[in-house]
Amino acid sequence: MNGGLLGLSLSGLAATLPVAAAALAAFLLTLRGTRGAALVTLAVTLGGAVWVLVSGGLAGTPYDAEAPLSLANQPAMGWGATITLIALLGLAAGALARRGAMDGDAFGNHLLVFSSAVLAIFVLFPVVQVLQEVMRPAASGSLAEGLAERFLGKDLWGLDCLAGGKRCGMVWNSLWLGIAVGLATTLIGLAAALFTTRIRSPFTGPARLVTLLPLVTPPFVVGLALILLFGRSGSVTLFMYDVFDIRPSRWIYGPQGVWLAQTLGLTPLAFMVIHATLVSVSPSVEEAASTLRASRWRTFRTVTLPLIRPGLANAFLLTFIESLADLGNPLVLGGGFRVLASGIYFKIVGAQADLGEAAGLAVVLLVISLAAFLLQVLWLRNTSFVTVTGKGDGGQHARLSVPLKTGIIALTLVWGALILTVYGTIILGSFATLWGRDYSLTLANYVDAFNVIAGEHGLVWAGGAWNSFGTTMMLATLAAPLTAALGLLMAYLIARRRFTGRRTFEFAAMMSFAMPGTVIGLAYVLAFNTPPIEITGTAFILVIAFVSRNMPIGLRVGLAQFSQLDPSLDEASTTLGAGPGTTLRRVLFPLLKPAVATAVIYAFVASVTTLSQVIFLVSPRYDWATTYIIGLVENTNYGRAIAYSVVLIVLLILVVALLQLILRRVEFRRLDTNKSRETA
Amino acid sequence: MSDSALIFDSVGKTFGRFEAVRDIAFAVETHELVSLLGPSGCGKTTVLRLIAGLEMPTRGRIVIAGKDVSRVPASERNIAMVFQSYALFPHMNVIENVAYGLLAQRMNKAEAFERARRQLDLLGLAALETRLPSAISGGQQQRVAVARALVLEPDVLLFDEPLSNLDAKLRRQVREEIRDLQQRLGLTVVYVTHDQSEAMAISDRVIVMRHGRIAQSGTPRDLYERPASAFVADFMGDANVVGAEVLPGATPLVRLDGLELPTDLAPGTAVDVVLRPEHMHLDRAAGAGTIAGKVRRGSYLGALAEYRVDTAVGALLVSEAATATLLAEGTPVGIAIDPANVRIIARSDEAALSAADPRF
Repeated sequence: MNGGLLGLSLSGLAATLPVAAAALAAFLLTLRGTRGAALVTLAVTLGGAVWVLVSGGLAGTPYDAEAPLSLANQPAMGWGATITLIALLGLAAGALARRGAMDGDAFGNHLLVFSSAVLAIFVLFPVVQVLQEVMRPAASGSLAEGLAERFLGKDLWGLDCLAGGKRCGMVWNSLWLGIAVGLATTLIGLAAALFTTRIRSPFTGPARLVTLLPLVTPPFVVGLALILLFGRSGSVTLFMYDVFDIRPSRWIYGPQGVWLAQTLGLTPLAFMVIHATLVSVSPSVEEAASTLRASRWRTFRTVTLPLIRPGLANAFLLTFIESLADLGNPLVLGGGFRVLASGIYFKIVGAQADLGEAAGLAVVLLVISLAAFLLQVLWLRNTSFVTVTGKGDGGQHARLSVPLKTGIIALTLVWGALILTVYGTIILGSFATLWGRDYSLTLANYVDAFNVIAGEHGLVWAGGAWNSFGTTMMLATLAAPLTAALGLLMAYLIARRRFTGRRTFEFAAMMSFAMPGTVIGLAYVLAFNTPPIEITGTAFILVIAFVSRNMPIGLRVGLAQFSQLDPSLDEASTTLGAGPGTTLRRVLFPLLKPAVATAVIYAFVASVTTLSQVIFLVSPRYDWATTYIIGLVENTNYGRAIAYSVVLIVLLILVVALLQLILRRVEFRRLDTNKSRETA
Repeated sequence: MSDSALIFDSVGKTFGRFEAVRDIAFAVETHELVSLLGPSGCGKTTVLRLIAGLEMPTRGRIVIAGKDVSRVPASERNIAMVFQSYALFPHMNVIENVAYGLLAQRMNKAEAFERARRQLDLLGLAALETRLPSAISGGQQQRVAVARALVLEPDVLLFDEPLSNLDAKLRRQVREEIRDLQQRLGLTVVYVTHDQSEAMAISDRVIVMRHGRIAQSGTPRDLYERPASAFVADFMGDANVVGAEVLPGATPLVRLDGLELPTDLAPGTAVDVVLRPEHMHLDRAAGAGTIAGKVRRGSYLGALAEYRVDTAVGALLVSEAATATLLAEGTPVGIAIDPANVRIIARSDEAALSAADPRF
């Protein structure tokens, strides 16, 4: 928008008139101050906000008789329209408060309106754009034919592979892969969780550390390591050729390879979920079972296992969703094996580019993901045994039966060995001159990526990686606090405030977690390439994508913390005369510091390691570390790719270590106060 | 009515479709301590939260110190509350906790801390100023919570089951302290509890609640001696409640086995007869004017002996001064009681004890 609102309306630009009228009406209605007036204000201001969006950022839309509802021809929103939009939403929140929502608290209503607006504009609106794209008739033929092709095509649902054919449809591939990965990760996660909690061994500490490693690793790096080990010129492959004369083959490329990579990469997630459930099982119920003369195996099978079943289901569904969303490993290791996520990618960037078909795949992927997510929500809501016992009581967990124990140890150790091999390969690989041929150590890969030369005019960032590395660090640092803040504030609304539609709000907020990154990427391309909000190719779109996608991290952490925090603390603050803002700042924020630190750091880690979310959104100017690495892999420049990955991993380990340090300090303070209570 | 510290004017509150309290009307006078008493889920805590402004009424009017505050948020009402969990801010030390309310109301820091310090002195907590709440005992935490509320000089001071986190010995001592403080400073207090002896010990007036309504209100003695319903009778101390019907005759009477109780209720009225255990005593032989029965179990309680006696009107609880030996199981006895100590209440549907409330 060029020029002020007043100037524009005076100069006769018709598009601004409705907003000016809405502002005037809101002002007059505020003077009346009745509940009815508040309702009208609400309608008028929300109407004004929608008008800002559809009127081409207040600059006016040329009417197009062909497509009267199309927004494509209008100019994009500028700063003026953005500020107007925010102001109108603020007025709407005020009106909502005067209506008596949340007991008339303006602070809470503003929070609710603005976070809902973020959800609507940056989550819901893009998804609607995807649906609209699917509905767009194909160049040839009718809408129905287009839809049939997009949803019922053979490349989606084909079952040739069962009948001896070459390949199955992408839907089946995604489902089978997801289920296989879910089962494997849940099983190994359970074994590892039992290993660390129920078996005394010197490996317990290291095992916990190992489980954290994949969290700070961009997901496809595991796939990369598998190529270095088992690829045609992989070290294991060549070793087998030399010793047993087994000819090198491309067996690692395909579903097996993707499955192995995802299983290794996602087991820590399953481990964390199951571990959390396992430690919350009260030892006394296991003791009860053994006093009732159940054998160790029987105790485990009939008491422990049923109690942690929700945790197992949760782990399975989460890893299933993550497997569906993973783009990196299918790209690196898939070969001819296509899943939905990589299918979308190839429909957008490949030779067979077709946005409509990509959108069709995205819808199918979204539906499967959301179904799994719904299942997870329902399951967790109905079957939480863990809280039944409530109070933590002492006692010893039942010992595990010997065969079970042996199985657990074997599985955990094999997994641990694999993980260590993978990471050893990554580190060695980054220093090898040419993996598979020449293992002599060199720093060339790092120099290649991160060279700095003292040039004539000061330092020159000559390494090829600097551009994407700088962008990644800067934008992830920018996005992390915003992500955490939005998530935690939403958690505050959900946990501490009552308002109509709270469940829906929570569901909508959580939902973006279940949206696969490729779907978000595609949706953003479709939604924000054109007015009214035209931000493709900017750094802003990346930040927004992270904030709206990773906000559930803050939300989950926040919800967990709030449930630990006695609600009468907020109420005490309120009855002592502090408003909600003061309460949040002086009581809740100091008590939530661990949650804030956790949310900020995990938001940072998630933004740095993601590939699927950014791959469609990066531009030459704002390249991302992961997309740059994938580019290197596509050019089979494995050395530099791995060196870059190692730098990222080390950096993220340091960041997470920093978090642990912060948390431990908080923890120590708590321990201290506990001790002094005992002595008091 | 106008100079009452607190007035509830037919207040109702619904959560979704659940009616937590309905049509509550009462007033609390200045310098008065009123208890809200009732079983869990009766709405007493909701009433307290309505006074505090932590809930907004769905219907009706709430007046504090002559001002209608029905729509005023908690932070702008001149009340203060002592929470069940005390809700001391764990990251602030004792004096910061006490000064919090003053600072939240924009008092300057030096003055706020000075006032907080004086309040702590008054409650004998001066030595604890710089301790964190986690580093002091439960009783001390409770007193800090009281100090934090008192320092604001509220029009009404609210207590939400403040003794439930203390052990039994301390409870008696602290409730006496609260009563002393209230009398000494002339505080207006609304006190929520589910413990009838606690309510009787400290209150000027008790409001007994049930199913979101006021069952009866009055002085502790009123409620104990003249309960308006079997529910109140049962809730205020131990009581045997026996269902019966008024019989026709020259003077209408209620008959419990051999015991005949005159009444002025109309013949045919269904009634609840309230027999306090301490009013009854056991005769070795069932005679005229007694309820005949057999001892099922006797328990020795130190000062008292308590008997469960099977009779034609049901099992009755009787307490007597302990004798050298307890009556043996199966001993036939007659239960005697002075008719003046028996309370006969016409039964209304609402008051029916067991039918309406599965908890009993």
